[in-house]
Amino acid sequence: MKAPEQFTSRFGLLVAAIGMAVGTGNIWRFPRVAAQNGGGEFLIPWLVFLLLWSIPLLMVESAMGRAAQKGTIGAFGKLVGRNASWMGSFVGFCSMAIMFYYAVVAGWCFKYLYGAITGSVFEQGGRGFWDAFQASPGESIFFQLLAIGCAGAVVYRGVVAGIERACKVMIPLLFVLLLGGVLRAVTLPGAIGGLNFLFNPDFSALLDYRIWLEGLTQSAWSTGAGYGLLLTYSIYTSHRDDIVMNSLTIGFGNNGASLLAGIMVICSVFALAPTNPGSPPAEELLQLGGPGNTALSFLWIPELFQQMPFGQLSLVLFFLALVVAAISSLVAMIEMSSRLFVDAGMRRERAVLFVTLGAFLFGLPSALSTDFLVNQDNVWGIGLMVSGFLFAVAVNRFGVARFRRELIEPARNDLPVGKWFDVLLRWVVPAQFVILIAWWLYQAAISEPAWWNPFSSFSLGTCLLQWGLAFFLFRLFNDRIADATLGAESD
Amino acid sequence: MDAGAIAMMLFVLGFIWGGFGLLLLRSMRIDRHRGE
Repeated sequence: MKAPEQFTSRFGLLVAAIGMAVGTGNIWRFPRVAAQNGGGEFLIPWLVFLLLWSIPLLMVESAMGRAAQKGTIGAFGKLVGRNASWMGSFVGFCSMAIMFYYAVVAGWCFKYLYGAITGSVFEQGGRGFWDAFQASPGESIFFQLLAIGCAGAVVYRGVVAGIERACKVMIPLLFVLLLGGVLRAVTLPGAIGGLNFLFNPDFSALLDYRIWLEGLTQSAWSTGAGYGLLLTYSIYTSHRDDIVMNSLTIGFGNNGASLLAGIMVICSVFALAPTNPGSPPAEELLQLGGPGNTALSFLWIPELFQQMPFGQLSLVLFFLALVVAAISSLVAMIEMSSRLFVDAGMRRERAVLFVTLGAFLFGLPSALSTDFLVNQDNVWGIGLMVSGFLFAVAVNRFGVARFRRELIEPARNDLPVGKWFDVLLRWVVPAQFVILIAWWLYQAAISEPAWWNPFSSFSLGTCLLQWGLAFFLFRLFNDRIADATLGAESD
Repeated sequence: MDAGAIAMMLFVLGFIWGGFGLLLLRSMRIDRHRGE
């Protein structure tokens, strides 16, 4: 097998990894969740869990990928033991399942970008445009194919010529778009109310445990920690590359993008909602969910942007930012999935084609049914926390101190890794997982009367059935999968 | 804008963007130093 390519510079890795982390969730989910949790006070747990959950797990992924030179299955198998390959299979499958419906979401962004350019979003209004789009399965499939095709084409060209080169253009462009959006939003009359809302902290609200759980959830989902994506990108880095500073840069870059998106969206809503006769008050509008939580970005932003000067141009730039964020994350998901097949002996180009086609076919149910998409988002979104926990289990089985000494400290780290890493991985990350998963499962149980029903979108039953099936199959075929991935390599 | 909101904005933006900027600059300087 050919030696794997390597990113040509640290900057190349960083833009690819920030592209992986910054997705539609930063632009779409963060402003809504921040608004639902009071704005200013939410930022505190959100920052705390960046340091306590996301960055330690990004460091773990980075070290595992680099040491094992394999994707998730091989990395778990090689570092923890062949009988632990099923854990890597679950991590990989979880991100793969997200990729299936994420391509559909990226397709929505493409459709809205097209609608913003032609002006048809304004003609039909946000709601009318969405309803017409959803009523046309052919269009949904076409834009899903367009999104997965674009991302697949980038990965097909290779790590350096495809992923690195594309991200070197896409990520600076994304930050410029977000910065432009912020400047436009904060200069609108009334935008100051949005800044007040986003940043004014009510410290007494920090006594409410739900704010902390939402902060942890946002941090866990948004930074890409536990997805196995950074693990895969780290295969293509030098053994001496800095692990600590790279993980910090990725985490801070991701949260920086969220902040820009938050300021842009919240200030726009505060400035424009009062000028739009049909819209609810700004605080209420920011918290709307809608089908697949689309209400704010897809239904209301077009309505609101129509009210302002250069509204169409602003809408084009908003959806262009969403498209870039979605594609750069989709690229990482395709690379992660393809790498699993490359590890099993498939030629890289063939693996990328196979994964791209598979992602299209397995994404079709989500393209045709928003209910199905919402179900998958729920099941595998929460599943990501299980993935994060599995990384912590892997480190504990390897030996936390040994992991730090053998896999992290030998890198040329600008910042030292102290025993704080041991404490975080041994106690803090597992404790966060236990609390978070218990809370999410409790929510799933109480929010749905038929909590046991495996065919309901949000039920506890659907999570347990789908995870259980995945665990059962990966455990059952563990040896075969390990043999295919690791061959005769010993533990 | 409230004083509390201004203080929080400066803290959060300074922490996240200041941190990100410094880390990125340091990374790029190391890249240049190694001739990468």
